[in-house]
Parts: sequence; structure tokens; C-alpha cells
Amino acid sequence: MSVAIRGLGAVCAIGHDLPSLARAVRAGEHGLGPVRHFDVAPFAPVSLGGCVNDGAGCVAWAVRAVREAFLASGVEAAPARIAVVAGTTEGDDHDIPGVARAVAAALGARGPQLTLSTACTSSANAIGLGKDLLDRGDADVVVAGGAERLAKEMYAGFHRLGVLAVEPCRPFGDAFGTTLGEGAGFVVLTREAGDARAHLAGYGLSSDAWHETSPEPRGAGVARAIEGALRDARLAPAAIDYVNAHGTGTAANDDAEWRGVTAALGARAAEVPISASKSLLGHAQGAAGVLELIVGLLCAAEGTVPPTLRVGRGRPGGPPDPVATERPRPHHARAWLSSSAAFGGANAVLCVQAEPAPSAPRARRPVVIAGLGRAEVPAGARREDARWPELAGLDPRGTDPSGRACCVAATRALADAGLKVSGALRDRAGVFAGATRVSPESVEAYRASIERGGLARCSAAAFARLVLHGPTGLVSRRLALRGPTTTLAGGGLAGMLAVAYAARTLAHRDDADVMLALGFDERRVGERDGEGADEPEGAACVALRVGGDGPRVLGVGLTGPNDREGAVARALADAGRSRCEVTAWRVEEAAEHAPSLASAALVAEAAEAARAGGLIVVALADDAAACALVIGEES
Amino acid sequence: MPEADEVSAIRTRVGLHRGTPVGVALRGEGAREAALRLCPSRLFLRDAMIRESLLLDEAGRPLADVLVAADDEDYLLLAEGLDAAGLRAVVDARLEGSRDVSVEDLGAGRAMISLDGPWAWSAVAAVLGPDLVALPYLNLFRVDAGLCLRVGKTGEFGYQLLVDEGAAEGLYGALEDAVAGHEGRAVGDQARALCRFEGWFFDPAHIPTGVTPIELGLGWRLDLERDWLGRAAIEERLAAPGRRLRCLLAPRPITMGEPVRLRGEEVGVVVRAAYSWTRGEHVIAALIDEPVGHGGVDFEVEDAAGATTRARLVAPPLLDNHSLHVDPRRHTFTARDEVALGPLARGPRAPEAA
Amino acid sequence: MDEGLESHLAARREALERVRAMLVEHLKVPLRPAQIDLDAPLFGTGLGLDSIDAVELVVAIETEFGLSIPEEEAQPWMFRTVHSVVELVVARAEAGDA
Repeated sequence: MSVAIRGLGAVCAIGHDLPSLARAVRAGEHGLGPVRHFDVAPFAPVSLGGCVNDGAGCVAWAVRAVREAFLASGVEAAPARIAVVAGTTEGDDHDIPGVARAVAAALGARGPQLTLSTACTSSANAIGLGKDLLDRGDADVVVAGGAERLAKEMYAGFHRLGVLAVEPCRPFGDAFGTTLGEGAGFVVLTREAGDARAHLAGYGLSSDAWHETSPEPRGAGVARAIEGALRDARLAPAAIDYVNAHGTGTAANDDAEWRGVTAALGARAAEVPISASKSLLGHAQGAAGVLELIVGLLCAAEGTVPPTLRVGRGRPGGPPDPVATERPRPHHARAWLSSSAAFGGANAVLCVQAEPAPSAPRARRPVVIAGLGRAEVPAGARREDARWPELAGLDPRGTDPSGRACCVAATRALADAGLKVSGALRDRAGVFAGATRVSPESVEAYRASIERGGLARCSAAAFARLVLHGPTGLVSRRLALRGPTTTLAGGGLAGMLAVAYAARTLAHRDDADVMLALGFDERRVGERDGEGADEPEGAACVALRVGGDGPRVLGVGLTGPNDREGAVARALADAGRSRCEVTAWRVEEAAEHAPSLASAALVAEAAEAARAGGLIVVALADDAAACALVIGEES
Repeated sequence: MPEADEVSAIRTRVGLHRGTPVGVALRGEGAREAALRLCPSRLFLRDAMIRESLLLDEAGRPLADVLVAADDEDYLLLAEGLDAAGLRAVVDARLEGSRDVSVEDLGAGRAMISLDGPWAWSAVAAVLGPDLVALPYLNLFRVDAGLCLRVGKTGEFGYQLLVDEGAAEGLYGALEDAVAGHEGRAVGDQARALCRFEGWFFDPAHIPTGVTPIELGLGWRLDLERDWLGRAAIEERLAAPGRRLRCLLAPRPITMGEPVRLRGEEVGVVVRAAYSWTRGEHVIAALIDEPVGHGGVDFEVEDAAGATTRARLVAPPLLDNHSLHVDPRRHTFTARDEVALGPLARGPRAPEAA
Repeated sequence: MDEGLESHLAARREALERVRAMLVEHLKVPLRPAQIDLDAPLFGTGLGLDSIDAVELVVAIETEFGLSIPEEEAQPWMFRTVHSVVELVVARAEAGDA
């Protein structure tokens, strides 16, 4: 059933708060001007950005947006029942979980703090996951959104890929290229309708399994995410009245996206307006999904849809109605979609409805741990000595140690499960991952390329790997898994959270039948054979499927910072089991080294033990969340 | 000249051709292993990806020019240079004892319809839908009629439609209309071969005796990290000095088999020569001693009339293909005048006749 | 062989070796230099470079040969084969760019 969108908060190029954003959207203003917070001379003639221009960072914007959203929502809840889900590519100073941490601190929220880092789909995915937390009862209030600051290294990478426009971007228009932006946006979600602005009826995720930076050209990935969102919302394509597109303005994206929308909505696609808010805001990357949702919501409240500025004569074969007006256009949308797509091939689509959509919950499906796979370099061992035969078919070009380890672990998990993913099942097989940091080797390669040739000559290949989701995307390409995909960022239990999210996706949604859940870590450069060799590295993978033989994930519990006991209690309740039935407990501290790998490995070890029977509880906690899983046979 | 008109269609509009495919589909758990056993190249194929490969004999000599495609779990091999029976004989012999793989003849009961030219995408899209415009080079999409492979061998946008015989007639007719609407035409094998030659694409119909991929400049199609049939011979060729296939331009017709001299010294031999309508001069493929086979060097060669003429070694590509300037995302055939096009022929020309 | 021809060939042999080394080192082309034939195509097929590599290639050429190829001068055919890149860098060197 839908959840209520209660409060909104935003900081972006055309408004430092919601009222000013609403005014600017109403007036059809755009915020694309010369970037001032770093020197754009190396990128001449490219110079534009949709910038906030207040000297602050994205954490500060996130806190402002969240306070605004929370205040406006008027909702109240116990601190432990308020969850935060944030999406960001980099956060401030590469502290990816820092956004969620700061937001939770500002609100005094003590529920789970989760972070998604799938580049430009991060915040859309965060809002979708926020709905899941409410549906599962992990919280009574969820604050979800995202934040991104336009960093010069990121600007350099996009510039190097040749996708930045000299003039303000023209989504669906006849000149190609995007304009980057920045900002933060958050929404407050509750189960109770209250005085809701609108209702989030569903969401969908998918992977292109195609290329590091180019979208699947038919938009098949976008189409699958739309179909997932419609199924989640239990709506038919004919019910959709408007599409708020990702619409970056690049040659590849807009064509592929329109094809994908057409593939998913059929004849309906040509009947409804589709517009791109990036023509006003720029491409705010990790914050893009939420900011564009907010623009759509602001317009919907006034009975309009946002315009796409500067479409000009449009593209051959483009959408017939890109809302090529200078201001929002009157149009009543009862149900609409907001779509996002990212480097690495991740897609996320949100489905919004004006009225609440009550529906009976789906029957819970049994989730079986079908296979386990690990690819680890133990502490003290050298990476070079780990010879993984599973790498034989993998093109090593454009990969890093994180990605390679993930591919090996995933391949092993599928083999262990005896699972053959082919044909139509590929569309229903997904990959989730949890990670601590972006591959240090790729970060170093990118840094070195800038040192060598300057920002304007940075390495595009290394840049393409600078998203936390990179290795996850590689796995989905390598194994042609086109179902839901995401990457969680965390300091202690990201790998385990990936397993939990994947298990719930199979149990409660119906857009996947097989999920791989990975945790991975990579040693810091320069520490490989010295002190850092104390750290293990690699990936652990748990292959989950609906039904079949093997131990099951019977219950999932998710609670706030360091609340392991709470998580255990919730997981047992979810499983319908009591403490006295538990035969083994793996309630542990988050690992100091390689925590994402270790947390997925812990689940794998418990699952291995559960193959011999018994009921096992695994639990971990860190300063952001606690998670517990109940694994065993169905009683 | 019909041939000149057909070449012009491929170079400036679109050329339509219907032929018989030769190929096999490798299916089953062992499909990838089988493909690796047959082909000496790297096979890092994402689903729907196509790569160029070869079939070699034990002496490392090419038997066929091969396209390998990953289609879900299957590997498809499309071969030129062997007929269906010949390919099947090689495949069956090589895969003897291979497990978990079944081999299906891809050509039986199927037709191959090809469209090549800077506007080929527009004609294909008109019949089979706009999605095909997005198909990147060396990838395949499934269409209702069968498979659409984006695999030109002329330097232009190229599409090959692998379809059931039953559907081929109707599809060909529809494409004929679309091609005519794009001012294109049906083209024959000869015109296609000529475009392939002046586009400097490997053509297995013209392999000089005894050469390996090394002499043919196809060393990049070999994966020397693993073993395959013919590998030992290839290693020998790599280690020894030798001749390499190079592209020369001459002002007068040249006969195959003529020696190529540099300052009087014999340094090579002509292995193929043809008149390029597009360039208005003769294109020569010659095996030239590697140390002297570089761009801008003028060689002496005897022309068809018995007189010595000069031939200049040049760097491919010989053409500034219109396909590199026509962008399906930007352009339409009706507004084709908006495409900024330079002369088709690029780079240095043949020296004046001596 | 005369001196003019010798130096003509020497310039090209050297450029070829440098282009081959650049492809292996900077673009991680997984081939031995001798496998990278003069006429080998660079993109799509051939050495298997793709759209991401295209920008890397221009930077690598500029860095390796110390020249600058402004976007408006970069024609698609210039980067289609190893040979066309060799001729490009030799021509630039002869024109006094390097």
C-alpha cells in the first residue's frame, strides 16, 4: 500500500528553501550559470553548473532540507521510530554515510540510518527504500532523500566523457550535453495519510547490465524499473498521467530513456506529458531523484506539470509532448512516475499518486539461501597470490580489485547454488551490495591521472569506476543480471544490510526471483604489503532465491544505532520464532577491518552452519544501524 | 556502370543485399568452452555483444572470417570463407569429445538480408522500428523476424538480418521499398566486396597463399594468453621478420602477383588490386617487407600494360565515410542536407603515373 | 636506400613503437606490441577500444607526443587505425608541432 509524503525540504540552484524553489519553478526560472566555487577555466568553453552558491557543503544542505521537511510535515514519533535513508555519490569529503549521520543527529532520530550510493539514482532509491521501512514496520516516520555537492573532480570526469554542454542543457532538445547541479532534498514519509501532499505508491529498481557509462540504448533497463514500480503500485500503464524524466540532455540518455518509457507504457507514453526538471536544476546527481520528485510534487499541488526548458525543435523520434513551455503547464496528474538512471547501469523509478492507494499486502514468499561464494585475500596475504580461475572469462580492462572480487564471489555463489540464470530469469535476477569505500585503486588511478595531465585530462576510465556501485554494476554486466540493483554504504554492516534488503525484496515484492547480495572491501593503496596487509580484502556473496531447498531467511530485523538486541527481537518476531528455539547465536561486533566483507561473510558462515539444521540468529550493529537475521528451516 | 552505382548507393545512401548465411549456434552449458576451442580470439562478450574472430587451421592459416555473438547462453558463429558443409565439418571435428554443447546449423532455412550505407539505419528503422537506430556497432538485438546484427564491413552503418526463409520474402520486399525511399538500391556481391576492400576490411575470399593472421594484420584477433589450434605456427611468424599486408594506391591498373620494388629492390608482392570508384584510382593490397611498409613510401610496380608505375603506401581508412558524420540522434533522411559532409576520399592520393 | 627514405621510415617506425607502447601502457590493450598491426582498427572492433577509451586515446596521444589536438581539428578518421594515428603524429612532428 502507498505511504504518505508529508513534508518536503530542498536546497538547490533555484531555491535555498521550499518556498523559494516553488516560486522559481512557477516562474520557469533556471539556475544554470557559471560555476563559482571552483575554477572552470580548464574546462573551457564548458563553464556552467546549477549551483547553490552559499559556500556550504552537502551535509549542511541536507540538514537544512531535513529540518524544513520535518517541520512542515508536523509529524511526531519517538526517536527510535524515526529512520533516515540518504542517497549520495560522495557526501562531503568522500564520507558517504556522513549525510545520513548528520541528518539523524539534527533530528535526534534514533531509528536505522541507511545510505545508498548508486550515483545518480541514489536519492530516488533512498525514497523507495524508505517506503519499504514503513511497510515492514522498521520505523513510523522515514526521512528520505539525498544530497550532493558539485565537486571539481566530478565535474572533470563528466567533462572528460564529453557529456557537459556549453550552453544550459536542453533535455529532449536538439543540442546534446548535460549541465551538472547540486543540492539536497528530503521528504518525510509516514504510513498514516495525515495531511499528505501526495502518496508514494511504489518504486522499481533495475540494472542495465550493459556498460559503465552508457545506458542500454533501447532503454530496456528504464523500462524494467518502470514496470517494477507499476507492479509495486499495482497500476496499469494506462493509469499514468505524467512522467518526470531523468532527462539529462545527453545524446545517449534522453534517447534511451524515451525508448524505455515507450517500451514500458506502450501507447500511453505518447499520450502523456514527459518533462525533465534538469533544465531548471541541472543534474544534481545523488540529489537529482529527490529534487526532481519535489519539483513534480510542487507542481502537482498547483495542478500543473513542470516544463522542460529549451527543447527547441526537439529530437527526431523524441517524445511528442516534452512540455516545451516556459512555465509549468496545467495538467492534472493522478498518478505519475519520476525516473532516474545512473552510471554503472542502475535505474530507479518512483510512482506517485495524488490519492492514497490502499491494497492488501502481498503474500510473503519464502526466501532460501541457495548458495554462498567468497573471494577473499586474507590478512597478511598478497593480492597477487590469490589466483581466481573464475576470472578467466572476465575482461580485466576497466576493472579494479573490488569489482574482480565481487565477480568471483558472485560466480561462486551461483555455482554453489546450482543456479542457472538465463533467458527471462535474467530480468528477475538482481544484485545488491554493501561496501565501505570506493576502490582505493581506482581512486588512486583517477588522482594520478589528474596529477599527470590536470583536471581537463583526467582519466575517463578511472572516473567511470569512482562510484561505490561500480563493482555491483560490473557483476550485473558480467553475469547479465538485469533485475533490481543497488549498493549500500556503511561502516560496519553494509554487507549484511545488502543481504537483508535483498531478502526482503524477494519476500515482499514481485520483481525478482533471484538476488545476489554482496559485501566487499578493498585495501588502501600502499598498505598492501605493509601494515595494511593486516586487512583482509575481497567479497562475500549470498545467493538468495524464492523457494527451493536450503536454509531460509525467516526473519529480518532492522533498528537504530547499536541496538542489536532490538534488531534481534524484531527479527525473531518477523520470523514468528522465540528465543528458546534458537540453536546458535552469532551476535557480534562490527569488524574493525573490511567490515562490509566481514558482515556478508558472517551471514555466509551462519547460512553454511544452518545447512546442517538448527535456527541461527546473526546480528551486527554499528553507529548507524543494527541488523539481525533469523536463518533456519521453516518450522 | 551498375557496379559504380551500387558502390555509390553504399557510400552515400543505402545498399540492400540478400544472401545465404553460414554459421552455427553453440548451445548448452559448454557453449562458451566450445567457442573458445574454435576461435583464437578473446571472447569477453557481454550478452548481445559481437566480436570479430577467425577460424584457423593447424598451420595458423585463416579458414574463415568469423563473427562471434553472445546471445543469452548461446554463442553464435557466423562465418565467411567456408560453405555450410565446410564449416560444419571443421566445427564437428574440433568439438569432438566436447561436452554439454549442441551445434545447430544457423544457415539452414534462414536468409541473411544486409543493409549498408550512411542511411541504412533509417531504412531499417522504417521497417523494423525505431529501437534499431540505437543498436551500437558489434551488438545484436532480437527482432520479431529473427536477429538484427549491427556488423558492417564497409565502413558504413551496416545491419545484417538473420531471418527465417519464410519471413525473408515479405521482409525483403518491405526493405526494398524503404531503401528506395532512401534513394538506395539493391547491390550485388561484387559491389559489396569492393566496398569492403576499399574500406580495408579483411576478406577471406582474398587470402594470399600460406599467410597467417600476422601477415594479414589481424594479430589483434588472437589471444596469446591461451592455447588454440595453430598457435605454434603463429608464434613462429611473430618471432621472424616477414611481410605484412599493406594498402597502396596506384594511378593505373595493376595485376595480382606483380612484384613490388623499392629503389629497384624487390620488397613485396601484389595480392589484390581493384579500381575504387569512390577514389577514382586503383587500390592495391600488397605483402610488403615490414621494415619498409610505412605510410608515404612510393614503391615501383609493373602495371597491367607492362610499364613501371609508382604506387604509394597509405594509412587506412581511405575514406571519410559519411556514416561517421550522419548521427541517427540528430539527423533525418529528409533533412539530410543539414549534415556537413566533406569529400569521401581522404588522405594522400596515388602518385602521378610515371 | 637514400637518406631521405631512411629518415622517413625511421620517423614512422619510432612513432609506431610509441603508439603501440601507449596503447599497451595507457589504454591497457591486452596484446603484445607485435600483435598491434599498423593497420589495426582501434575502435568497436580491432583493439576493442570503446567510447570511454576514445577520450583516453586523445589524451594519451597528446601526452605521449607532446602535442595538442583541438576538438575542432579532430576528425573521426584520424583515430580509426593505428596507422592513421602514426601518420597524424608524424605529420604534426614534421609540421613542427612537437
